[in-house]
Amino acid sequence: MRRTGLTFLTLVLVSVALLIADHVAGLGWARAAWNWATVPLQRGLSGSSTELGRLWERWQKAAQLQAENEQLKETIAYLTLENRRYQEIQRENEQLRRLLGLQERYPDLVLLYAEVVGRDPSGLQQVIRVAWSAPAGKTVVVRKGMAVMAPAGLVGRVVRVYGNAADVLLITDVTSAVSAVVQNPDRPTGLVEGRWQAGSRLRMRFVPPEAHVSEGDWVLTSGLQLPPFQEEAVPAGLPIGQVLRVSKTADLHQELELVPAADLDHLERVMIVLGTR
Amino acid sequence: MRTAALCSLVLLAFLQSSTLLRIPLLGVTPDLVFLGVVAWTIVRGLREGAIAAFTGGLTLDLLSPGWLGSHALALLLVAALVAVVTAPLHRGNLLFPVLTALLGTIGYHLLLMALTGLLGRSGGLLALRVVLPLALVHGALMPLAYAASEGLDRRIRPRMRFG
Repeated sequence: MRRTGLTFLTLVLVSVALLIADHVAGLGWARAAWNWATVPLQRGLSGSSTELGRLWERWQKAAQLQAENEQLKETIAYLTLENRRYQEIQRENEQLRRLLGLQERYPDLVLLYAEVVGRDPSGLQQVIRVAWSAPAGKTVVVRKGMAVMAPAGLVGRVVRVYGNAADVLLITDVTSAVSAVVQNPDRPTGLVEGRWQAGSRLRMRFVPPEAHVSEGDWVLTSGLQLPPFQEEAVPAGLPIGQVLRVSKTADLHQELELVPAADLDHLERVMIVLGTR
Repeated sequence: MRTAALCSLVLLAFLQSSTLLRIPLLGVTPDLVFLGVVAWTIVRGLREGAIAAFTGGLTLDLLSPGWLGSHALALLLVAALVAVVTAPLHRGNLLFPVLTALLGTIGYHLLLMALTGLLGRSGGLLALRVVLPLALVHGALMPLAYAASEGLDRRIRPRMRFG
């Protein structure tokens, strides 16, 4: 313990003496001698330090660049998402404009905007489910048999109603039948049936044999409420589809193969025809 | 005191004056000699800590533009403080060396600045700005310094016993 104290005290005194000596007399020669002896070592270390420093700087920059890269990736992902969202909004906007245009084209119809919320999961039927929000302060009554439209034409008719939602049987389903008229000078009438389950889309049956029908003619709803369509509330003049092919049947009637006017595979928003004004 | 420990301190002083100046941590350069002196004093006691402080401090004095003896004196006082306060308390608990490094850094640099200021050379109050981050860096590096000192101590002890 005494030895320790003595050593410590000696070293402190030597340090203080060095301080005073350097301050008073200057010990530059000691530094000069030290430098002369250690310059090679210092030089070597400085060379290494330069290289190490460069490596360190590069490593730091790499880390910084990596962080920036990660940040930019995140930004790109966010902007891509935003872009998709804007595209979706734009598409929705476009569809809504077209639906609004539908109301302008058919000012005598009372239309209700509805969104497609589902499809028949079994895949056995061509049925979609639509849902709507009743306008504030108004009561909306949707009934079975009401027509459902897209901007391009007839989509189907309501078959079941559940509060603010309904199932819509598409015109392409085999159980669907709509009275129709060909839009040409002869104005032949018939029945448009779905053919989806039979591998086709639409056919119009019972078209009189003498009627003149050409490919490309438009077929519209006739609005007839004859048996068995008394419950139907499909107004006249809605586009159903376009004639693709004309053929004769055994009973001498003409049968027309139609292409639906509306894109029934990509429905997102529709209008339910509540009635006429 | 083993020659290896002293050589290590001298080498650390050289490294500190060259290589490490280009490799800052948190914007400051860790004082490896300070860390070595503190750790060595905790492991080996005041006598060897004081010799380490004087050797390392004098090397730093010769490598720096300050007054000769200032680093040595400041490190000697740090070693004395560590030997009196920390060494008897820590008993293997790393928290004490870390706290010592944190507080010791502040004390050491204030002392160093006081010494240089007292003798007519301005240490610069601006240097105080680096003391806090330096204390944090020293606190973080202290466990490494302590482990290295313990490792060196283990290598030295058997030779002392059987030599």
